[in-house]
Amino acid sequence: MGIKLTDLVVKRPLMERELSSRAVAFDAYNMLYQFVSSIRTPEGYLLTNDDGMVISHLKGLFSRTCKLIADGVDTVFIFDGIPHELKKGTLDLRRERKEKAQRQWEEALERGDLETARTKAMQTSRLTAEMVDQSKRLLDLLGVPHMVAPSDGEAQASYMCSKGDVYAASSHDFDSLLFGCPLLVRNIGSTGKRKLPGRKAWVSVEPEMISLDDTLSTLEITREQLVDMAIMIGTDFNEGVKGIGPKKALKLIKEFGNIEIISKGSRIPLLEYDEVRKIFLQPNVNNDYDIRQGKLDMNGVKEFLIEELSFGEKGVEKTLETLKSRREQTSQSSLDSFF
Amino acid sequence: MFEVDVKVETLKSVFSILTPIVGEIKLSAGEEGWNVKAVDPAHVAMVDLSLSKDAFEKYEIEPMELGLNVERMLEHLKGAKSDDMVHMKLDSDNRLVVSMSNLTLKIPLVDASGFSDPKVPNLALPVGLKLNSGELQKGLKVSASISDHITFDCTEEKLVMTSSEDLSSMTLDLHKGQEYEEIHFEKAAKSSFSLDYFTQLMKGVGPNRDIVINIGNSYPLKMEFDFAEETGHARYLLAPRIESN
Repeated sequence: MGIKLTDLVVKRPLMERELSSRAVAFDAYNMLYQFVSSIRTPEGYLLTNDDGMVISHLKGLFSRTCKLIADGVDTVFIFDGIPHELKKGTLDLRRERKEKAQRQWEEALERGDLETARTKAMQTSRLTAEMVDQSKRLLDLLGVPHMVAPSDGEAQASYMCSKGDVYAASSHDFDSLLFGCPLLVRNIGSTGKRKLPGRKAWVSVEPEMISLDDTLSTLEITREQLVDMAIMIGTDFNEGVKGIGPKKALKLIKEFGNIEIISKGSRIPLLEYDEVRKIFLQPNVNNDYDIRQGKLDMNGVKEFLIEELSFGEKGVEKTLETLKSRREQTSQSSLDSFF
Repeated sequence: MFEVDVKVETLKSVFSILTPIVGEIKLSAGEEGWNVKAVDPAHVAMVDLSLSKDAFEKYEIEPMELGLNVERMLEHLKGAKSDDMVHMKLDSDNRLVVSMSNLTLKIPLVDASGFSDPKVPNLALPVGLKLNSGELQKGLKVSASISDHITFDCTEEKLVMTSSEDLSSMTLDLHKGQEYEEIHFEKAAKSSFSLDYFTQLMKGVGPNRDIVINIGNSYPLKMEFDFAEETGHARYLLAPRIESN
């Protein structure tokens, strides 16, 4: 989901140790969705413990968060609050897609087509209130600060980043740029290879940094114009104009300057753009927050994961061990340091 | 004076071994043969390559240094048949004239005056093993689907290659006397290396070649092998990924 800007933004690879000792705000729902969609059995079922309780989200969150902390990143998690009225259309659409995917999953399982089954199962992923509560509890035990945004989590993270309270905001989507996030980090913690859905192909996924300023100056537009482009392309809050993709939107904006002029000169219907602009340019955020790193409650984590949720004791302890030492993160050395 | 006759396969080996490290080289042509030392721009990997004059059919050289573009040389050599003999000499415009059967190329030299002469360190590494490059290639290839680095953990009886990321991991055991032959063993050694770099180096080594690797504790890896019917010898050094906090 989110705005399609992949081809336009200016990316650079994340530098070695760049995030070390720096705070990064994570889009919590975005991350948890990744876990519940990817941490599944070959048939597409979510991982469960012996009591049949789903643990995919916690398994992913525990492993990922511990790795980040061990790498020296001060993690902060931002959960979405109440969605804006205009997001309802997107949310309804997502729900319909999930229902459809659910049926296709079941059909594929009946046919014995495991590959389709897993792909479809991934598309059914949803987060229950219980999963979110459990995730928050785990973060508390790990001493990781988290908060619920008034509305969009990415808006809140972007605000915190623009104020300099966090170094960067982490999300898979590009919406943060529209919300004015100066530095967006993508694919963090998921270095390595990712399988392309439905194909026996792997792509290399590397953490990357996207600077809003660099993107705007390279495209030679303002943030207001980027938002106008997004409105034409389509966002989570409006459908966009049929036939206008990122490239065409950029061309139009550069030629005409803004949506008003573009829609005057053509028959492009652009309803709601005032409200969508407001969502991105004057986002609903909370400026009263505490993102100080808390204390790790090692016994609390063990009690929760091992005793309550029957996680493997060895695995949990091993992960916690890496945390304690703030960790043997490997970084590339230079030959110069050996002679 | 620079005039040599050499098998195209030998030349191809030379440049294939250099290409993982650098784009341009300074070739030192001496009375006894050729030598190239080069370090990659990030100073993570290094090569030290020698080719004895025995590798050449004709070798008439006054000691000199030549700047060459490695990739372009490899491209040029694609014009040759595998059993061709390559004739190389410098013309009066200081261009390298390369002829193979009925094909002639004239190539301007690269200005090598600014190229540094990397010092190749003498590393004392506690473990030395001899094995076939295919054994390493297998582990590297599989671990590339898991992570971006690989760990070599060598104990008295075996060398374990591991790679892990998040919840996935790979382990490959190589056993003494089976997949490898012990050259020397002082104490257990463990180092991690970037898969990107390592994989590139293995392309330079090539398939099915006997190699000697030396491993230390979070220390550079040394990998040596002969080529061109033992008239050539190459040594790679690769800096480790180190644990930091």
